[in-house]
Amino acid sequence: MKKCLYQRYIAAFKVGALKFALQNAMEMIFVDPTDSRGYLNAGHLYQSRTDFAGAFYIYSRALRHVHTTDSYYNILRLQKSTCEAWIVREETSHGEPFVIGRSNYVGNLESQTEKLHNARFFEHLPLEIFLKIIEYLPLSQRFQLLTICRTWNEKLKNHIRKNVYDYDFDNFDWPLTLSELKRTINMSKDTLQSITLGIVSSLDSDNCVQLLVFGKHADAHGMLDPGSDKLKRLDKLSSLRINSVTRVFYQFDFHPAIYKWTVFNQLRELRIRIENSPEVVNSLALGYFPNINVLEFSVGQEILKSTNDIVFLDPALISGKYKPQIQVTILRVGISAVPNSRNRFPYLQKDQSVAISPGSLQRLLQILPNLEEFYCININSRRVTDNMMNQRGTGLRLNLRQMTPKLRVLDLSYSKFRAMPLMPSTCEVMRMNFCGDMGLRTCETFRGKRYYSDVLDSEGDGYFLDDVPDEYLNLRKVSLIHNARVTEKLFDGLARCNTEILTSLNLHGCKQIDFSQKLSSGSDFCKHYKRYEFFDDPKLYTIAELMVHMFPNLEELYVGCNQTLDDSALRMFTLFDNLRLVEICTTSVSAPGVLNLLLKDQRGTIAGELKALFLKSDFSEFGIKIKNKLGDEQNSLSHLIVSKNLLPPAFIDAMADNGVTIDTIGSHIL
Amino acid sequence: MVKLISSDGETFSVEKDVAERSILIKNMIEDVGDSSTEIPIPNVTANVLKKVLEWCEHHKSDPAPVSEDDNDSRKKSTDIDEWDQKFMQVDQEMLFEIILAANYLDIKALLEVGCKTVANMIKGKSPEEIRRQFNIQMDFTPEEEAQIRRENEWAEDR
Repeated sequence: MKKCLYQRYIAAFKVGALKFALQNAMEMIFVDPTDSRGYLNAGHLYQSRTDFAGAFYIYSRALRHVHTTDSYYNILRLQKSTCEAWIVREETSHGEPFVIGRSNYVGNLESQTEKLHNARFFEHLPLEIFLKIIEYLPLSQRFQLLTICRTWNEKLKNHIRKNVYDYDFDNFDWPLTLSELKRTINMSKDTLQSITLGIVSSLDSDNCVQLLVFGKHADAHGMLDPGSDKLKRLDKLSSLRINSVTRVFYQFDFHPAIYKWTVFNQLRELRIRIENSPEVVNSLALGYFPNINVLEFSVGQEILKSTNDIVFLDPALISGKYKPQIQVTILRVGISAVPNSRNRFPYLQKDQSVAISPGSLQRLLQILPNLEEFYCININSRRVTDNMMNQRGTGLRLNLRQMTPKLRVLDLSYSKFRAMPLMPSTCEVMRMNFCGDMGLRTCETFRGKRYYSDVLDSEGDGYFLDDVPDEYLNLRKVSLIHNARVTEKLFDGLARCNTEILTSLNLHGCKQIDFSQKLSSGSDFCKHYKRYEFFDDPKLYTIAELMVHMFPNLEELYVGCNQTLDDSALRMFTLFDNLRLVEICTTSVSAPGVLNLLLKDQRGTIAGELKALFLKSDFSEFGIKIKNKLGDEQNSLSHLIVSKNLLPPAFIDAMADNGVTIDTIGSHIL
Repeated sequence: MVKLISSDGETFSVEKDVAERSILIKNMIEDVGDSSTEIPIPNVTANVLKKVLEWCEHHKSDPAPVSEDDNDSRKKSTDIDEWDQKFMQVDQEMLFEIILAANYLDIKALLEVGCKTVANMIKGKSPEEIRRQFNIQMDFTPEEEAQIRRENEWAEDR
């Protein structure tokens, strides 16, 4: 582990990813506080950033923990006194502070040729505008601004503490220190509603978390004194996100009888790393989060953790004390459970997953009966289940219908489950992107096979029912990106939806679908198909034609990454009356074909949004054509997602001139 | 079409809905009741007005901004869309002129973009870097600076 972190540090340092290097150095210290190398590396990074105070802190800490016989002990001591000297020097110098290796960090300052004089513009800037600018800055930086110059200080000093609702420490490239957290909290304790602690863990991480949770931090012996008074510092705090690794949740009992005040009483939203979540789930089940609505147990993609099993509510420990927590309505579990708002193209494969047994998930869901949204991203539940299969000859299926009868959104993207969960009929949105061949279940698939559910669900509902007629009837949005089911099974499942209600269908990357082919005789589609008013046998229609008949009200359609999508399929799609958004990333369509779909000449309406990655070269005049044809149309194309590298600049310019918003993405996606 | 006269006397003819991105101009047109009259913009020079109108032109079909609830706790994002980013790639003097003009003309969205642009120039930088960025002279003595820092330290029992 240590070796691995060290290697990662070296690698990151060599390529100049200093933030990541520091993170690894910090984790080395976290893993083994007596290891001198972690301190040396971290200290070195701080020093190279000319942050001597930070380095000094690291080295001081090192000298307390590293054994005096360590071969690096003397070096650490030497470094500490060097830093001390630098600090003194910095503090006494009036002009420019001493600079070492700064060029790595400062970017393009030197190229700023336009110079203003003595903050002239900031002087003339009306205060309300200045404050507006300040509002976009993280809180600790607002404080910093007071030391910029007299003008700024005078303008800001009476205002900087007001109206701060949200503090995001994650914006920082460097680990948060306790004093900085204290300072910033103190500045806005009356208004602060939301705090995010960054992913870069530091020696102070635990103290920061304790401070937020208990209103104080541990003493020098790592102990929290439960007896002393607690100050309700952050009365308005309702959202807490902790991205760093912390041991706080393992070390302390949050029982209200011991700690009269913890922030948990007031939190409405808690987001923490999945490594910390089992303890938090225990506290949740014991009722220590009376007001929590949104729970998230996740890790960012930035840190790929090993796949140790995460066990929620270990029955061996505190079973029998669980109480239903009806206040929770949204639960997110897994890697990157929150999609990055900047990454609008959600088609990247992910390799890492977190292993959580279905029993764990089930125990957690059982105490959340009012859950409305359940995101279970990148969870590997299959491996564990397979072990259970071996032991007991059966597999576990999540019975969401029984446990979470109010569920509206189910997202199992990237996850591996042994079998499809049984969904309540209230479900409106379902995403199963990158779930292999799991998808909308056809009734027959599991008929006759016996499943049971473990632990809390022993009522026999773990059997697959022969038919659950209303299971998919309220689905409005279905997303099955890169689904590997055979076409017949896929459409048999989709046929169980109420296709009048279904408005968004995502079949991006479902490469097995051939839009020009017909359903084979292996389909049971006919059985469900009676609901659709065809005049002929559905097996006479190509898939493209079938889709137009099946989903008459479709507004969003994603069918990219499929070489069988051609101009004739696009021609069929013009028959959709309400289509607003169509995604057709493929090389097999031609410019006139796309233009035809966009403009729908005969029908007079135009799709408002096109997501397209054109790989062919014949699109050079496409933009100009669009421009000419669109003219003054009211309902024109407004949003286009394309790959910048693959399109002629003239095209992009023409689209931009036409007022079309263009999002560009890298060409590596496909 | 609406005719706007900049502070240095230059005339700009723009479509009414472009000009009306500015609440100030919109109100003036309503007051006058006749959109063919020339509207003087005494606080904005021609080169700045030209730039502002370029922005209005590009954003003329944007939906009207929803009134912002001041108690809204949502995150203040500094993301700026690509066109606006390109638009704001001007020298600092122009940037501040645009902000001042947007404020005077009451174009909320443009003011927001300007403020975000400046905020991004400050964000994540050390005080020293900020001073260099805006060419600000450090005019505190070390004692004063230390004093300011102390004043803002965490007071344990407040």
